[in-house]
Amino acid sequence: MSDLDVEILVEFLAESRENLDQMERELVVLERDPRAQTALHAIFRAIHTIKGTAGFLGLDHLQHLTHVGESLLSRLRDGELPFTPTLASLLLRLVDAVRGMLGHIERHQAEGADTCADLAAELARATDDGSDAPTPAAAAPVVPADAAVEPAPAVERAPVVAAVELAPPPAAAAPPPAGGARTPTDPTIRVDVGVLDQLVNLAGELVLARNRLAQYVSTWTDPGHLASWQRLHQISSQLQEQVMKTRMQPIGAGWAKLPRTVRDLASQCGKQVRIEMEGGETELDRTLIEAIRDPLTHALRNAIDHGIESPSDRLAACKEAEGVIRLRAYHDSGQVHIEIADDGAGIRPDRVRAKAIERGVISADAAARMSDADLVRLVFQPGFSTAAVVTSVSGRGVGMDVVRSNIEKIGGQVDLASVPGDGTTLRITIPLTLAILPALIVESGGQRYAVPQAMLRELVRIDASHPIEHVHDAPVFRLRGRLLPLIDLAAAVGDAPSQHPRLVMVIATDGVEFGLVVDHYHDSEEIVVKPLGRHLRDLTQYGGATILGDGGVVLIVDARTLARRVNLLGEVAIAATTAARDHGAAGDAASQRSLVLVRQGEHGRFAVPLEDIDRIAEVPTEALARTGGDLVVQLHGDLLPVLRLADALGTDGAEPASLVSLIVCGRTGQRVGVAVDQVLDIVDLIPERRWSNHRLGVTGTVIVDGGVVELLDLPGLIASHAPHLSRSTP
Amino acid sequence: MTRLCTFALADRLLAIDADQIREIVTLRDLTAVPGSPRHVRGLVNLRGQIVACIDLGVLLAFDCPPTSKQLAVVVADGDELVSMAVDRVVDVIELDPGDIEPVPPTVPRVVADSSIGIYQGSPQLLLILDLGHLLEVSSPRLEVS
Repeated sequence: MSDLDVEILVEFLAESRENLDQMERELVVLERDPRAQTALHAIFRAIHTIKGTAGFLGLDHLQHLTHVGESLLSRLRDGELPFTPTLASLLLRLVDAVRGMLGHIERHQAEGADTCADLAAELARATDDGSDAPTPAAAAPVVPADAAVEPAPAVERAPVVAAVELAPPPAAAAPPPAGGARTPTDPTIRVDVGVLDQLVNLAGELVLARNRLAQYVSTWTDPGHLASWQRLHQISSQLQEQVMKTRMQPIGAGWAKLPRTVRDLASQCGKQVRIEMEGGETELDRTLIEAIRDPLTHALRNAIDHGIESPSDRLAACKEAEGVIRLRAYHDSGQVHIEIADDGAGIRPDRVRAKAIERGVISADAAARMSDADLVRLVFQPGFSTAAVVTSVSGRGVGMDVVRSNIEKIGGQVDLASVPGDGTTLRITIPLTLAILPALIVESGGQRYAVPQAMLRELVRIDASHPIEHVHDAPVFRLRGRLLPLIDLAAAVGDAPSQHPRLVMVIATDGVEFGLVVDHYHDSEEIVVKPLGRHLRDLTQYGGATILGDGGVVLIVDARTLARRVNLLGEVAIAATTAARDHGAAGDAASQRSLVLVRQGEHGRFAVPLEDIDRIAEVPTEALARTGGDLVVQLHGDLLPVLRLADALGTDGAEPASLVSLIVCGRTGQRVGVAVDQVLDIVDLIPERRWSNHRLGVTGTVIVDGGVVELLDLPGLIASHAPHLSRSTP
Repeated sequence: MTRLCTFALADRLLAIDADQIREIVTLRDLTAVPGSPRHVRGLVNLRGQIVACIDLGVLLAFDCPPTSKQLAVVVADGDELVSMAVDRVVDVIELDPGDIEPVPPTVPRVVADSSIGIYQGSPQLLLILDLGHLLEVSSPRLEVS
């Protein structure tokens, strides 16, 4: 297949997908209002265009299927058949089938076996003709864009050269029989995304190079030089601005499928829901449109499943039987705002409170002190779900926390407001682009770092009236009555702790707030994020690196990784976070594992896979009690059996500290706490070497920071040392 | 004939395939990366591209302090660039592959595994390094055993 043929095919696939998206949109409109003639015409045009080009490219099965669909649509359009929800479902299945065929064609550059004969037969039955209905292609006078459509039938009847081979290039010179407003003077062209990304990078580089030059300009005196400099400055700024625009797309491009999604989800849940969309023309970076697609679908799913009530409940509450979800996007102060508002039952703070306490997300004391608005925000906590029943749609415990973590991953924020009885509004704020990031350049331990501003709440100076204090050796900071856990930036990334901490950066992410301690801050800069490269890809504490105006390389701190460490040390349930993270970053997590490092005894370090751990808690040693030979501890109202790692491994008889850390494992059916001296850290690494060890419960070793650490298999350990605890049914 | 670039590092004479060298640069403003493996000296800005700098002495466990020299050879590692610090670039020579002898078995494994062989013809013994292997051992491997 020649390059030109491939190009035509690629063009056809892209165009057909757009047409299918439009069909889907209009079908939902039509289902709502069967008299919407413009929608019907648009659907007809879309399928007609696909059919025409499929014939032109010799894609017989596709042509046949779309032809049958077109016949049905033609009868609908001519008013010979009434439009029913059954037909809507049938036509939506046609859309799916065509999409599937396009996928096959994209992968194999050719059609496969005809798998849609049943659907074609069903469509034909629905058309209910038997008679030779006039082919719609020949009778399309109603279509306004008729002139553009006209060439299609001619091409269609031209002898097809080979079933799967594409038409010869000369024919390709003719404009594709597109149904839209595509004319030879169409002011848009398709460009490879790779080329655009490269352009964005180069424009960013140009601006950096210019900024470097700016340092010397102050010494220039020649007016000619200065004028040239001015010009260079302007042009490079404009260039960057325009190039950034090429990546901008209306957010509505990702919304085309939503009415369909809402329709399908609502019918699955036995509810009536319609979606109203506003601000679809709001532009943002195309990579971000991709990135918010999943969170948005998740949020809609939540709104339909948990937010909107059943039709009978709604009628009882004096609402319309049909619920409404309003999706709105707009620009404000350099950011894109997205609101998803439903007019459902709202979230009841008292139910959230009860659930949060039951799930151990917060303590009863803390819950009692929280405002209603803050209580509602608890739904963003990992593992939280207020749904009484787990349905196929949602309620599996990974819900809003996934939405939040996905949005925070792209430097955005989410918030939730709810009025019981009136509905819930989810507000998402995201940056316009990912390529350039506003960041604060700070110094810690003699080295500069860039900290993205998105998660930064405030900067507080450390002085005599606001000193760093310690709780059990853990540094904390008192900020307007709140206790903020502190992390030293230099120490957190792996350097020696800073000797001159002077500034606390208050960072909020992943539902935790913590203070990042630095020496001082230099400047805020718009930075271009660059990857660290193969040699440093294991270092999760960095989100990349950037080049500053002075040419220096500066590491970008990944506050989310640091937050995860705070989370761990701060006795917060982490199991669901892990699930959410794995859910979010399925790709790169394949070989890497997150391991929790613990200390047992003087020098013993052990690693436990994070996925084996439900939660981590710290309890006073005297809280451990013996009942009938078993060690137990009371934790959040439950009695938890405890296995001491020292006993299980028969290691040392060292004097136990006043506090022990419990790693709670639920893998064995019953939750068991494994007591260790101290939880040290979480590391992401690839277990390098494994060998069998004679000790039960130890599966191998890993190298961490140059030292050997034994890898523990908690379920195995529990099974071998406390078999009665792992016998209960999972 | 094989074209080799010879360089000095910690009183040793080493060589890598000259055709794989993109350029030789003077390192300025090396940014250290806390938490990185010891053989990664840091990151440098190479005309807008961020490039890691490897200390071969540390990687090959030569008995010498980490190099403080500012000279580095830049090689391609797939679609990325990597620089390797050296004390001094000596020469570019052409060798008949037949003159390259295997590394004696008494040479430490870490060096032997990263070498193609030894050439006796130069005033000082020349250790010819296997660049592909060096790049592989210096970056974290993806596969899990």
